[in-house]
Amino acid sequence: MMRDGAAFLILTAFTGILFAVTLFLFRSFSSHRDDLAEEAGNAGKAALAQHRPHDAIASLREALSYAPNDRKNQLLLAQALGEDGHIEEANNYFLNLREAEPGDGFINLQLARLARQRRQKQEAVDFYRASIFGDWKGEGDVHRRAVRLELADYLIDQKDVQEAQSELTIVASNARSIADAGLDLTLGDAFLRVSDSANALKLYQKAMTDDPRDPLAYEKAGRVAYRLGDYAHARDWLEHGLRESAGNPGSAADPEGDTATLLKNSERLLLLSPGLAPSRADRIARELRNRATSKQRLDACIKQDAASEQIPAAMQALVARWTAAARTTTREALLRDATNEDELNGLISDTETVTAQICGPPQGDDAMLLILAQRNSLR
Amino acid sequence: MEVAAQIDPRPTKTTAELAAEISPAREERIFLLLSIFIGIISGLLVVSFRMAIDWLQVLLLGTENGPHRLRLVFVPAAAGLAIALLTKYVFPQVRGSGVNQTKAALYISNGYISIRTVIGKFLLSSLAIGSGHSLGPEDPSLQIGAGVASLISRKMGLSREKLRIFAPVGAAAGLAAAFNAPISAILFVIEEVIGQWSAGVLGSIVLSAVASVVVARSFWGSEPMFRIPVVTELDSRELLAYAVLGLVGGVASLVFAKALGYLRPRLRAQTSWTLFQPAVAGLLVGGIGYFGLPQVMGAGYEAIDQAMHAQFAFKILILLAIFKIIATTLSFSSGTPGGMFAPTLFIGAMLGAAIGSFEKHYFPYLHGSTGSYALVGMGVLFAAFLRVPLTSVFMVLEVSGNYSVILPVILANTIAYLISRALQPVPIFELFTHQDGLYLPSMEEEREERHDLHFEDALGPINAPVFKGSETLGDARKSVLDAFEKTPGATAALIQCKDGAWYAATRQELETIFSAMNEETDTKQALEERLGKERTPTMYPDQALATALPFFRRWPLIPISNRAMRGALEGVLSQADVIRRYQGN
Repeated sequence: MMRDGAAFLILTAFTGILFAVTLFLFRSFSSHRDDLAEEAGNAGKAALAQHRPHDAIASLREALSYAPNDRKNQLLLAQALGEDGHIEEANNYFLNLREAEPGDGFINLQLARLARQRRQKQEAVDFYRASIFGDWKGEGDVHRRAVRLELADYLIDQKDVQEAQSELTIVASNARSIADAGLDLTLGDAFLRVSDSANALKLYQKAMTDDPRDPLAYEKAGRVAYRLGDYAHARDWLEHGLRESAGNPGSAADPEGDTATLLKNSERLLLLSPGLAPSRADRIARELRNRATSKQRLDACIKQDAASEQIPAAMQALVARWTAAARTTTREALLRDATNEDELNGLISDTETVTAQICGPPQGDDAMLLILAQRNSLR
Repeated sequence: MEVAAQIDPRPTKTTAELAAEISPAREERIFLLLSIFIGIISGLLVVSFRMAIDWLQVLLLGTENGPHRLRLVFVPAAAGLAIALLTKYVFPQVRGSGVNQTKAALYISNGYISIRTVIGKFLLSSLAIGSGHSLGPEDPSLQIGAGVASLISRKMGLSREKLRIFAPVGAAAGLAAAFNAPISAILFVIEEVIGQWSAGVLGSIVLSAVASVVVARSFWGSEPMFRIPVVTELDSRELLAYAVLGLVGGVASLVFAKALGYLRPRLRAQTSWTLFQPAVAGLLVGGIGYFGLPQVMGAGYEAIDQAMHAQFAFKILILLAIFKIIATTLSFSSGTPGGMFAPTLFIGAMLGAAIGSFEKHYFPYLHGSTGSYALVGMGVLFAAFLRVPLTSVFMVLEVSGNYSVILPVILANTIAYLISRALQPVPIFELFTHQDGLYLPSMEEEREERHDLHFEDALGPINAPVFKGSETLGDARKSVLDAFEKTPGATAALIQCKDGAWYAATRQELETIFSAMNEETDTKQALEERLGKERTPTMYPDQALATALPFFRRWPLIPISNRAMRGALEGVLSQADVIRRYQGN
């Protein structure tokens, strides 16, 4: 018994010493490995930042061989694999990382992007949503908004306009209290992509409020107002935009280079549109002026088309209508009966539309009248 | 003949053994406690062993991973030369993987493994693997564990019987720490080293394996050996692909085994240049690494990890599997100490990932991840090459921690195992022992071809006279004498007692009772009362026949009872019946 007790005591002491020695060696070993891992990890990170994903992969793999559980390097490696075109590998890598943290916003976002590249729509949408509702380390609101915008962008690409519009509406609603003109403009642009001009205009207007010196906000708002037929606002905003832009050479206003033309058109449309006339007499004056312009356009078009053997039926019908309307479209007739005004505006509208189809795009006031015709502003 | 030379130098019966014989309870008392110590010390040594490998790898091969570095060629060659010299002059017992050496120690040297062998295995295996030889650390860990157990049990003065038991206990501890998977280690030791389940040893094996894994995890963390990929839900159509994996794995293991079976004895026969064989093998393995496949060098865990995470293209996976077979065949056949487990897992993972990639490319609507295939592939090669089907299944489950792969694992492993068995009847470890001139028991045969006899195999009809124990002595005397008169050859009778038990009495015993009977007082006494309280043990037809023999020292016959009806007999067993059955009559 005593002998066994002594033997176990010696065995325990030996085990303790062995443990201490192993622990000492292991600590030294781990510390060296950590240094190597850090060195390789930094090299990988730098390579990734310099868009050298191939080099980044080699360095990060080396780093992970020393510290296999370094989450930061794992994420970087997965990212590098994706950037280097190893979509499947990157996807598997991120899926593995997601196992440990299924609610991680960044990982879900990366998986969504990879699913997008792999053309897996439902998977991509699911991961985007998981990312939106996932955890973000710091600035969660900003990340979630960005992801939702990215999701909306993806849905637009997938022609899923309604879903995209819903996502944009949520973002816009969440961002209502945020004074960020850049965000307003981005959101406005996104709404325009889903043909929601009304919401786009609201956001551009908000951008103008958030940053009254931003020419881009005015330019974009003016452009949408022009498209919506609100020529008065279009003129004001475009003019403001150009003015701000001139005072701020570094600004990016007028990206499409036609702001001045739109401004000119707006001004002209304001003068031509009968509906915008300040009085009835003025409106009739405009209608008579438009009648003359449109009649000239018809005559010119008939002449231009005279080479052909037969005048097109649509044109013949217009000629007949002009002849029939000769008595009802005089100043007196228009003043006497408002129905005659409607008839004249309809005739002008049809004339501009038909002549544009037969004789090509019009110029000058005819072009403006055609715009009004297309917007039904003449009827 | 490295293992044959390992003869136990101790005298046939030591003082300790004599002490153990006098006090067997002492060994029982310290047995479990010692198992824990063996587990802890093995665990610590295996942790150090792995550290040594990693250190040497960084020191010798550098921190970069890529090919086209000259040190990839020269380091394994130089290390090979050093290993050969040390093996020849300092550690002559360290050649080989460690599994057969442990078995040889168990069956030939009563579990004796010298301290020099343990040190040599530790140093030379770590140098070989760290310098890039295509070998693994698990099998040496197994031998290191067994060596620790052998040393401790010797120092504690245990009996020969216990010394033999402790070798597998240490082996399980070493393997468990190396694999970070206690169940697989326990199963492997049972399947491949001791060949049978034994409740007495199992407790110790479990304790030591758990202790070693706890130690290993306290250093390396509780993460599994490989970062396990996402295992997606199985589409039943994928089972076909897994069946193909089983087929491919079976063929690959056959090629691997044939290559080793061919090259190893030929190189061993070339005694004139034995010293240069590890160096040449190192040069060739390094050449494979230099020219583009450095992943085949060393244990290859990183490449396994990458394959499991689908980071290799199909062609590379196939190339890696082929060149790993070549590299391991060269390294192992040259006599460089190191294990076969890691290379086996490597080849399996590559083939599995290759099948997975193929499926993903041509059948994209099946969603199985490449990682699942790599995982199953590891089990497949394990089952087919090492011929441990049960361990292979549990290894995959334990390593992955995911039971959703159980169906593919069982299917693929079975196919691979059957192919391997059919085309390579002698398992690889057994082949190596034969090549070394040893004939250790084949665990595969022991597992599958054991024909244990049971009582029912020797059961005879009830020819002996049967009496009721409740009969009075007066009545019994008459019926007993009548019965023995009718059956003159009968030497024993069966007496059925009240509680359903039986008493098998010799004729002489009964005659003595009746002759000593007092005619006035005893005639009304029940026979069973006179027989006393002792009864023939109740035995059943399904019990092992071998357990019957000791009973014949006391009883002339053993009545065999029906398990469903207490007291009802199926037949009787005599010593002659048992011996006749064992003689095959």
